[in-house]
Amino acid sequence: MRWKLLPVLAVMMVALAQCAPAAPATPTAPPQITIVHWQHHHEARKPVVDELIQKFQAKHPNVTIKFESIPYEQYFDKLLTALASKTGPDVFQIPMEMAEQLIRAGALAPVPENVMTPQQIEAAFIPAAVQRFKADGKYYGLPTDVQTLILFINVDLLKECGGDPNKPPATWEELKEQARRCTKRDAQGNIVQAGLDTRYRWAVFTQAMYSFIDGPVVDAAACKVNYASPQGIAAWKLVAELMTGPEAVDSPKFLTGQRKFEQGKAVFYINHPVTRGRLEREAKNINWIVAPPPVPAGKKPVTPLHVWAYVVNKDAKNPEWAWRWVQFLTSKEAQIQWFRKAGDLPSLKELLSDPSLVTDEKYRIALESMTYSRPVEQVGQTEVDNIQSELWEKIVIQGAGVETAVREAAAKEEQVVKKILGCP
Amino acid sequence: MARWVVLPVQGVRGIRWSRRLRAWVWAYGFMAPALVLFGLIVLYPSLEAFRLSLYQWSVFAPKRFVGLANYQRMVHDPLFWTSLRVTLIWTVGVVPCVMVLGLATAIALNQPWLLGRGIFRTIYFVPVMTSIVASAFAWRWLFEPTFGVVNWMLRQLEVSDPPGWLASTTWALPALMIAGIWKQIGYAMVLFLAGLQTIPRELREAAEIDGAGPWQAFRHVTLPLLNPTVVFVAVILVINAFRVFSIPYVMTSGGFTYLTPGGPLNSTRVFVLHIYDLAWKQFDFGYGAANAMVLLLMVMTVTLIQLRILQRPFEY
Repeated sequence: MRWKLLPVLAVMMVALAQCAPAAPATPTAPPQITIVHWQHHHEARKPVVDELIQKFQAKHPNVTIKFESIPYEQYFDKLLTALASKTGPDVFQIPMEMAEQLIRAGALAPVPENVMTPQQIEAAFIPAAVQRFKADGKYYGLPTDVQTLILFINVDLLKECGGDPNKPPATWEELKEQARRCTKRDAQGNIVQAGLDTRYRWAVFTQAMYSFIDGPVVDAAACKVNYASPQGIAAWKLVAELMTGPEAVDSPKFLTGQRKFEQGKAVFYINHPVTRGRLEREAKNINWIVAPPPVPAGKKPVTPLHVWAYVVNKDAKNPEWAWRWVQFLTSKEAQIQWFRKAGDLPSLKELLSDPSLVTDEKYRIALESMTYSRPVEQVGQTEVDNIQSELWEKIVIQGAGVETAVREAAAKEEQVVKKILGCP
Repeated sequence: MARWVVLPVQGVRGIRWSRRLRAWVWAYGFMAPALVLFGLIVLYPSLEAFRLSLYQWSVFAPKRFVGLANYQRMVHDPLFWTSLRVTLIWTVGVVPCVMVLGLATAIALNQPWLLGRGIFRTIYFVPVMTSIVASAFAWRWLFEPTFGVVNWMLRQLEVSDPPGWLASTTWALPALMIAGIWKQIGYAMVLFLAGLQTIPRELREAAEIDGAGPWQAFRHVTLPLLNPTVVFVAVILVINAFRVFSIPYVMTSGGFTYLTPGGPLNSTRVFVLHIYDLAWKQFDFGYGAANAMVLLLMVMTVTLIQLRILQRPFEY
């Protein structure tokens, strides 16, 4: 009898064992994730990224960010080679001019909805900073390195030539007049102090075009390049006035390829607010202020807004964590760091009106420039840069006729736009 | 009898063949590592580049086979002709200067009576060892038109309007060529020194006994015997000239200068810079590869012509 009950007892024991609380499982560590992050080198930005990496890794011990700060001249060579051979980084930065090309090529992973929805992105960021990274209702990049153009002024040199730092030039005419007054020449007529440092030629002609031309400079929807218009030609005539003739305010022969403003050899300089970081490191002896960029007389202030974006490789092994890292890089906490330590402008709406960021007049002017900015419309990078650079050199070095040169360049650029966007 | 004679002949042939086979195995065995490396890093990429030259490929879109269209496009591309012209000017200007100055330096430093020859040889070789990027930056400062050392010296020599160098479409290329010559003199000098030291002193002494002066001895004894070195140096320098890139790239752009490599107005756009711009800046990889294939053909053709012209046998 007892033996007959044994199977019943065994079944009962098994059943009871199932009801017993499970033995505590050995805790398994979350899988270790490595995110490879590339961006072009900038003296002021690298330490910010290093600091943000420390913070992110402290919050997420299972994530390691491998950061490489690549010299600008090699950045695209290395990036493109790596992307073509499927050995690209998980996270990298691209300028807005390349957005359409890379999105159309399917090289980027969209922001996953569990990280940020399109609605959340639109609610958080200013439209000008994100609009070129949107395609088919999805976003493919979050903004970094947001830059307008502002006017840098060497106060001591300006005072020396009778200028008033409290009344900086607001229009192109005023800038031209003050820069001419401050330009110094030797006995042979060679410039030895520039009124305006024009080595960042892109800044000068882009500010001129975007402030002179009322409508789009490049109309991507219509595949048109519009700077051969009367307003565009007026902008390039201004370049000719600044750079040629006996009243030129700078010359390609003066400190060729050197940093004139940083060396105290130029009074005015048009560049991005991020230049602040470099000036604070490299030009400690220079007493400088900033002012809004010049515009034609009678026009409201305007400046082109240029954006780079952090994007995620479509071949990234862990796109969700890559996007979480990008989300952190573009978060409020990070943007405050970018702004304070590198001079990058914030792209979050809530930060534009944050009084805690305005600790001095330079910050106020840089932040305020966002409110009157319009996004850069250039489509395509080096090909277009080459065309515009050639146009500059034809006018400045060769003394070519402005109208003909501008029409030729605009026609060439239009061909590039059509090729990139696949226009008929 | 006949059988007795024939058999050893076959045996000798067999031995000869087995020796040949062994020699062949040894020879190719020793060459194998170099051949494999050559195949992997030269031959395969070259064939791949040729294949790429038949496609239109921008990295951003799938490859599209276009046959020889990239080569046809080249004929009508003004930048192709500009870069070819710039490269030829560079070659014609730099190679003879480096050869003449390298040979002159080598002869001077080969004189037994010269004290501190080792030190001078090291000094002349320093530019070869110096980082090409660092030296190109230094040359950029030297050629700065307003405060640069070169124009300062020209002003001391009463040149009232010295050139704009890197800012001038006329003078930018000569400035780069001067840097290119400076960089390579030491290299040519070392090769010529090695060549000079292989020439038996007795031949020169015999010529002197026969009444030859220094120039005649150089012209009729040293130079003909130096011919293999001259050929080698000329071929290497021409290949270097066709492949020049770093000096024009760094001196015309780089850093926060915001200048266009190969500028101003393409006046320093050497051929490799042209290929680099097409492939890596404009992402036109197929067209860039077609240009690279043309460069390869040009280098091979010029080298063969040089070998034919310069490599003449001579007898005594």
